[in-house]
Amino acid sequence: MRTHRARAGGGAPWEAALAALVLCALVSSGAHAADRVRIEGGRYRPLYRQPVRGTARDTILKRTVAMTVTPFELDRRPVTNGEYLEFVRAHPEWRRSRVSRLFADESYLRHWRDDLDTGPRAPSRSPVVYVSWFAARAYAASHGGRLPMLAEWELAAAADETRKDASRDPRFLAHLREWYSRPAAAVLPAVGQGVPNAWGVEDLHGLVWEWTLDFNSALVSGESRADASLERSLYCGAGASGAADFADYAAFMRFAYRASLEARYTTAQLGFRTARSLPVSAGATP
Amino acid sequence: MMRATLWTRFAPALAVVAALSACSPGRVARDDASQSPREQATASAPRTEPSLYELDLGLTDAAGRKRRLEDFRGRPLVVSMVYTSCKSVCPRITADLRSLDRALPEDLRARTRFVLFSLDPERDTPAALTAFARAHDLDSTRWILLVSSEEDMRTLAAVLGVRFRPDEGGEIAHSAVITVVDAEGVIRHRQVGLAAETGPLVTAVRDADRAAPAADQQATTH
Repeated sequence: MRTHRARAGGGAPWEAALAALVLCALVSSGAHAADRVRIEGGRYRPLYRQPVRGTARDTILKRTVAMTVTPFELDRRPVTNGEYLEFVRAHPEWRRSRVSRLFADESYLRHWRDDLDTGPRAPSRSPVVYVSWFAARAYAASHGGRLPMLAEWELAAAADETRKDASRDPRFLAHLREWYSRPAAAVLPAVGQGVPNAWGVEDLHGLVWEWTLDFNSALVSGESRADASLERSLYCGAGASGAADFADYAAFMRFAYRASLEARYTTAQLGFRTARSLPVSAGATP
Repeated sequence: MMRATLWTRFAPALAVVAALSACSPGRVARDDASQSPREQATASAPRTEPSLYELDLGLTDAAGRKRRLEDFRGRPLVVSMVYTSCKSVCPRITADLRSLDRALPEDLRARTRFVLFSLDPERDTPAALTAFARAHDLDSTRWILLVSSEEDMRTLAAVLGVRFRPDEGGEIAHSAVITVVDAEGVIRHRQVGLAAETGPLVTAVRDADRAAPAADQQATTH
């Protein structure tokens, strides 16, 4: 697993105070400083099953394998049009008129009025959409971060307003389903208008879909190994009961949605937020 | 503007589900027409076509030398992503590539380079790449094995449309994708899945070679 360079946490208290002051100054002056929340990590159980060696020799079982997510930081809110505008100002190669078709398709930032003018359909406080994975990744790197891994995103998104894992609560899941079936607004509302979840993260559900670094880890078709039915077993009737949490229809839809994406795609509902790894020592597990 | 409902929002996902019901192991699934590189090329006709040579990647070859993608400009390339400790599909991809190699006419064969990028930057050292090349009897003058940082590997996989997922046991599940690239780095053909025959790939390499003299007009004629 790649380790991301991150500032070590230890420092004199006055340094922290100074940093906080600087941060406040930046925020109040309108400049964007990444506002991230520490997520303690935990176990994430993916929807898909994977081959696991059985105890008997040469047996392969298909199981969902829970993954350990180590502590990390995640943006409190999705990246907004206003923040993305600053990014394209500083990085002209990501302006609409200049971006390479290798990195973004034809609809990149199509809801903006112009290269450096977000216009009425892309309010400055609304989440930026019509951005490709390449663009989102470049933005994250320019803010000292990266895109969250799918497991990290899902772990953070399993929380409701009071519990860090509400993923088995039918009411929580029903709430998500309700969003999925609601028509999307023509102009997206501003970020940060909902209630933060138990981690303090906002808008993971209900506003836009979000890119993850390993969005392309969903192997739906073209799976190359002998156990090619890995994902088919999830989708097709017979195998569906083998999925970890088929009740979690919302997670299933996210899985299918990600599987449909290519890195250069941009769509009306797809935005992103950034994350950052924490030094391993800071994530001491009991 | 438009009001997306559940259905429009999930149209791509549903398409995947639909495609899925038709899939069977080992089937060759060519990209559907709306996504084929050629379609993309015509859709963005006034622009220059996206080229792999826009990527700035730090690569290391089996001999431990630093390489750039640029080193391969001017030739048709056959590109894939593998990892050397893979026991199941990578040898089969490599076998497919070798049959393609054998099926090329001699002059074209001499111009073409086979480039294998590692999906496993952590374990694929130059020594591991060398051992892989030897095990598969790959001619090192025309076959180039390259490893990069994890970040660059992700970029490559994204550009080539290779899906992958490391699993707990150290294997990396990944899609078998063979990409044919012309002299200017434009993707001319993608084969997703292992093939039964080399015919379409031979044609693709021939086309990529024909598109070689850097002239855009020529690139759009076929």
